[in-house]
Amino acid sequence: MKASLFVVDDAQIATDAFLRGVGLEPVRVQPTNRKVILRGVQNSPEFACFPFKVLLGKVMEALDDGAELCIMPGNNSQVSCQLADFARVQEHIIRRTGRSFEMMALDTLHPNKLLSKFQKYNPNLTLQQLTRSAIMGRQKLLLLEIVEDCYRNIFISEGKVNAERFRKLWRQKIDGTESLIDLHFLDNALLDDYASHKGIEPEKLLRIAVIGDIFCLNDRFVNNNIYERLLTQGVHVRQGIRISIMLSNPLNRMIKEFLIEKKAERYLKHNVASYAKNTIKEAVECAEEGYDGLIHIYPFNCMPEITARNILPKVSKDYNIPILYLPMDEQTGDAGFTTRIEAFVDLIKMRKARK
Amino acid sequence: MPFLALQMANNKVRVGIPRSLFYYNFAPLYETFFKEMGAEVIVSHKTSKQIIADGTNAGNNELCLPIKLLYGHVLDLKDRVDYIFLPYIISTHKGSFICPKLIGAPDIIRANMEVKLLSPDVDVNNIYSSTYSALKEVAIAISANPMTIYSAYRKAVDAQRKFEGRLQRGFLFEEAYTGRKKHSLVNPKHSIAIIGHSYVLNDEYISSGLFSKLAKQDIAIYTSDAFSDNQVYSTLKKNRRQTHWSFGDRVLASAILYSEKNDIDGIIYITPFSCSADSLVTEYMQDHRKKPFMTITVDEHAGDAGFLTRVEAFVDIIQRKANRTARVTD
Repeated sequence: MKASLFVVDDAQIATDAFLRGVGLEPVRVQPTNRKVILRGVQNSPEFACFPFKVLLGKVMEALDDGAELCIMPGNNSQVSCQLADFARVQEHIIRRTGRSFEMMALDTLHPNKLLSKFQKYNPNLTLQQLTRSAIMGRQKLLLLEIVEDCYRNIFISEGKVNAERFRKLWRQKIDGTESLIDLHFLDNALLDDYASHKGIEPEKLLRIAVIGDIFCLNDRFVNNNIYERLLTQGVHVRQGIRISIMLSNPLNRMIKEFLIEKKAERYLKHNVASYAKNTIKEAVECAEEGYDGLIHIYPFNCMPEITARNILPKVSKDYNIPILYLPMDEQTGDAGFTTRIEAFVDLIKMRKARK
Repeated sequence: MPFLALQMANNKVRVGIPRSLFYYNFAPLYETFFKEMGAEVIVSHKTSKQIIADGTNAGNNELCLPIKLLYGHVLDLKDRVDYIFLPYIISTHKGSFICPKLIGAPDIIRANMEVKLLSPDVDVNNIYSSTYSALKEVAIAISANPMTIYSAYRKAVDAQRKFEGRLQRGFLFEEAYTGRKKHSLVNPKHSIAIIGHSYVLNDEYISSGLFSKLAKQDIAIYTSDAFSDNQVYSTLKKNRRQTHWSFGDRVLASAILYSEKNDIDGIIYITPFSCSADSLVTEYMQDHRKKPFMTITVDEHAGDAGFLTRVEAFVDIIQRKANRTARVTD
């Protein structure tokens, strides 16, 4: 059965590996672009959040490309944002146009529940197979994120061309690896290769942390390539949240939640939804570590991040750290975006020089 | 304890309750409770132009209208009270949740203003933060006597039950609160259902006094508050439509129930601008539109005239439809 799993463009390699592992034939999801966004916006309710619109566009494109089963991430925590309703409402909207297809919400990480979900489409699937492909997908995702980190450091030390070459090479290698043991060796080889490049000293550079919503931070088109824009100005970037946070194991998750609780409780008592509390925690942590500035990116009409956005001014005041707020939607223009980021970086440079 | 110190000086503790958000769901409960505890309860003034202006100035960071109004009401109370009662309401029904902005509302207020808040947790999914323990947590500072707290709570719950009973018998918020029915129409010309979040419908300023204006035209009004939780969730279960949001569930269920009722002529749905939680719910509503249906989006710039013109046009449509059916049956 042809299937598509919708996360973000950069995680495509990992999701494809997972789908192949559970015996489904992956259909390539269109990378985010103007056409996809326009299609999503046309078919969505007016005030739905931006990720909903983008993902709806992607689902429609994937169906045109021949996908029969669409798999959408759902809520796997108790309190969730709109994400909890994504799969249901998108299915409803597309069914209304007279199309028949299957939609699945990945709203649990419980092995047996997941198994019964996938067995509907592949009756021969065993728990062992499912677990192996899940680990495979997760491992590839983690590797991709390491590659991205290395890419950013090489970008600063050796320039864009070398960095692009490095990223392309390793993405291909990760995509081509089919066994877990090979993947393990790949990990070591990757770090060895990275060590052969020129390193950077982050303390000497201007340091900015980009915090905010998980979808905006990980989708390169939606966040308007913000990392590269900052890197070309010689800024060391820290990314607030990664896709792999959704797949962390229970123990890891408990530790993470404890840390978040400790840092963010002063500002936000409850886990309002999604990763708003994580955003506050990142802001506090970066301020304590002496970062020069923060950029908060969130999609238009994102309820949890708007809550965080209204609390962040207090963090900014308490720790004396500048924050730039950038809401994203389908009308974000390129020029205005660049101007704002450049002005922000200039301000921070002047501020650092004065100190 | 600052509370105790005030009590000893023989001054009544002044507890302020903002007239926004959950006030419209739990007004009798909170007011009766604090009155029985021996505190002086001050509710903020009704929404006015000034309150909206204050709220918009204080919190203009892409917030929705209800939170801006909360800002306005807190500013209105701020200098007149010792404490402002603003609970964290996380969930009022198992499996569905309140909008993230409303859960975080006390934190938003605390981060932007210097106010003393009393904010206990209310969450039905967590047995340690029921309404009783939430109120107890706050009340223990006024009087340590558990009997006082318990009897105050019992009385508050009784008042709340009466209030909800009246709502379910078709009283509007104001009438259910005072216990007197203002508009009783023996033989109404039409019946219109007005659905939406309780804090939007019942705020007279936002809804431009819609209730009284319709009543003057001999139109009976039904609101989405008139259903009990049981009715709401059994309807949704029957239609397989439960969503993630408590308020969304209620709006959707009342849209379904009212469109099935024969004596309702039309449905008006009022929603605040950029309500993200409602946006996905409205997508389902399109399946159940069997009657004249109108959506009105309100925000702080809404003009009275534009609002009423649309409502009048809607009433005209209903009138014409009724005339036509009468002619056909003749």
